[in-house]
Amino acid sequence: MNETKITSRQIISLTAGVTTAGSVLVIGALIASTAKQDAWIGSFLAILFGIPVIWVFLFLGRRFPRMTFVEISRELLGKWLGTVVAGSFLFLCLQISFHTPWFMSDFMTSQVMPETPHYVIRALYIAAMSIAILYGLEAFARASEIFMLVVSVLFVFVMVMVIPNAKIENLLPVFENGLIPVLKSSVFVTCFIALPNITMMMVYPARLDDLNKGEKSFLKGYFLGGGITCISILMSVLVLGWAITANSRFSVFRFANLINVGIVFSRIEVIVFVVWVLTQFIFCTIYFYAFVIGLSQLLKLKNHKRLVLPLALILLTMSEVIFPDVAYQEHWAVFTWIPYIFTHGFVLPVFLLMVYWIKKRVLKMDIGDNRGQK
Amino acid sequence: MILMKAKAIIPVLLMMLFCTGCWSSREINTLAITICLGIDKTDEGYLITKQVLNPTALAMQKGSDEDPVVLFVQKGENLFSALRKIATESPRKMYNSHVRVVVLGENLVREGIKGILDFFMREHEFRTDFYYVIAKNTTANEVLRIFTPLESVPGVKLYLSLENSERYWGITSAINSIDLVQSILADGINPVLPGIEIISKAGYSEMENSNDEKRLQYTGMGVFQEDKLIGWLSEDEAKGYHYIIGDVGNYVEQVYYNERDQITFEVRNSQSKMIASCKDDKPSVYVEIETSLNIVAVEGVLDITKQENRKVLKELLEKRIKLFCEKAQKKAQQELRSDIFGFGEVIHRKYPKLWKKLKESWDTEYVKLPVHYNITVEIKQAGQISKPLFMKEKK
Repeated sequence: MNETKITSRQIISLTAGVTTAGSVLVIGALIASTAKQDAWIGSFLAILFGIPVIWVFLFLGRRFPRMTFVEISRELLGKWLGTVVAGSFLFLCLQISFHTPWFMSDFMTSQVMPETPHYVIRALYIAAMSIAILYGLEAFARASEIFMLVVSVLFVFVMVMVIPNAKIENLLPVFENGLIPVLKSSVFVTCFIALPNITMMMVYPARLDDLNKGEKSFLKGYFLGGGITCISILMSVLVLGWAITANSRFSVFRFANLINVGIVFSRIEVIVFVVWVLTQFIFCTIYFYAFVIGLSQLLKLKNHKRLVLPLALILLTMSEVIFPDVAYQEHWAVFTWIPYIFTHGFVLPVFLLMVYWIKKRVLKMDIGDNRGQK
Repeated sequence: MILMKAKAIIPVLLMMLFCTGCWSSREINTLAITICLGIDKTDEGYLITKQVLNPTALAMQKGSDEDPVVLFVQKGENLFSALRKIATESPRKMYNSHVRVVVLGENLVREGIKGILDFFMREHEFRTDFYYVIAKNTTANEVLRIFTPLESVPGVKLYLSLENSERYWGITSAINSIDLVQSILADGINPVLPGIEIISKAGYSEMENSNDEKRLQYTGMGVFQEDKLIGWLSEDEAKGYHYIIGDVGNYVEQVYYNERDQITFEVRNSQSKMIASCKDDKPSVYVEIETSLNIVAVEGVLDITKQENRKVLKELLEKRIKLFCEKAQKKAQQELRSDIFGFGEVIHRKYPKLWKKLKESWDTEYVKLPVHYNITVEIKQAGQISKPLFMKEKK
């Protein structure tokens, strides 16, 4: 087989991108309204909660080092049930790949360019995504390495610059409302940082050149992305206080407004915008890629690239109509997204894992993709 | 070959279509940059006064007949409609991201500013880093109509002199949207805003500009109950307030040793710590103030190099600072009944359970709250000479 392979370094950047993008600007409000001033504790706990989830992904990946998630579910659950499960997973991928352009254009038009029509931003964004997939995974993974480097540097820069505005009093008193709201909020955050990584299962074991290094890289990427999210939530609460954070749609953008160090470093909030655009791009492209690859595997197509352009048109149309307004989207993020990603990102892989164990231990079947370990 | 090249050129040309920059980009010469915004309440709604930079006048260094800023005044039922109505008289599009100061008329502030703050936090063009001031005893419109010396743009003058007076006079504080919203939202603290007054003094009339008899000056701080102005702190009380919250800046302090000897100090650094304590569910607050000062002038013959004299000076200073603090506390606690110091938040942070009980009745509890002061003063330096110059040495 002549498939493109990606290095374990690129796994770091892809995972970090996926982990960060779902969360960095949006969940500040959600978590601060639940956990109040303890939001940062909640987000640190969320990283710990995510570790078993990531472990499940890694475990599945180790058992099937040559297969994507779609192939694994078909292998384990048989042709019919496997196809249904894989189809449902692919629908999730499709949905997220048209949600993200909506988020992008919503942010752009409400914060930076209010007079630009939504569809222009979306069209450019989806065009860039399609081009990335047409170039192939390898090119895209390399780009993501550069993107995450830029993102990390800019992020650290913004966070350091905003330190003079931070007030430690905003974090006190700790655990005012007990532990329950904090745990609740951290479950929310887990749904935004750890569970979306399920999509990496379309890339992670199958296209990797070195599995042993890859496992470590997956975790590293997860910690990098989770760290960015945590620090952004911590700084939001430190600078804005929980009440304003809970009420801001884009809290990181809001506190970046306040940066004024010397006269030189002021009015640099657009840097945050760059961080957001780049991570969203990695996130969305991975989802779109997962969908394209998964669909072509499901339909047994030879060339997945032929699907890209027609699907891009579907994305463009769907991203226009998916959310009628902001209030609906905020409701969706809490009441639909959390159960939705929980079933697909946690219940589903655990279920597959159990099926694997039953088949292997109880039924003593020869299962697993051990071609790599001959 | 030629065909290949032509094929390569087409995508490049297509790309150029997308590289034209922002959709709604505007050149700087089509914008009217707002520098200062005044808001008043009238019977029909809001009265907006906008100070907009006049670039042609600013570009010419001197000798220009034009004024450096242009005023736009409009009425509207709400803030946004009033702001938009300015479009009917301005040829350029208003650009609000560079607003430095928002002046609020006293009438408006007495009725509450929640609606205004919501607008400023929501609207994307306004940032959160500008300052709010109250036009004391006057309207924002009057304040913005006054031209200012030294700094040709009055809005910039308001901004700079607010920052300067925070640093060197210590009785005002520069407060932006985030601070203001935070202190309105929190239960255990009420906001304050600096007040600006129009003063006219005889000595100014020498100036050529006819408008120059009037000047703007920051005076005292407006005290809020939630989002409504309820009273003013005088200059001395404002000083006490800033000592208590630990934000005095390089304030000037003087004491009289006796009839003849007056010693003037400059505050180098003053920090405070508020500590809540609780006995039998009765809260109290300890305010620890640490101030270090430099001697800047000695009128009279007191030998400041002697240890015992320094000790006396320290005690005098401590007494003086305590007096200011108590004045501010008395005004805020007994007269205005507004927790501007954030004592409630101090208790909240340390005793969250007790605070749950107190929260509902904090307005009445606050009035009874005992506050204790512990003031430490350090006299650091004495300038370029040690003993007073004209002190006679005893032999």
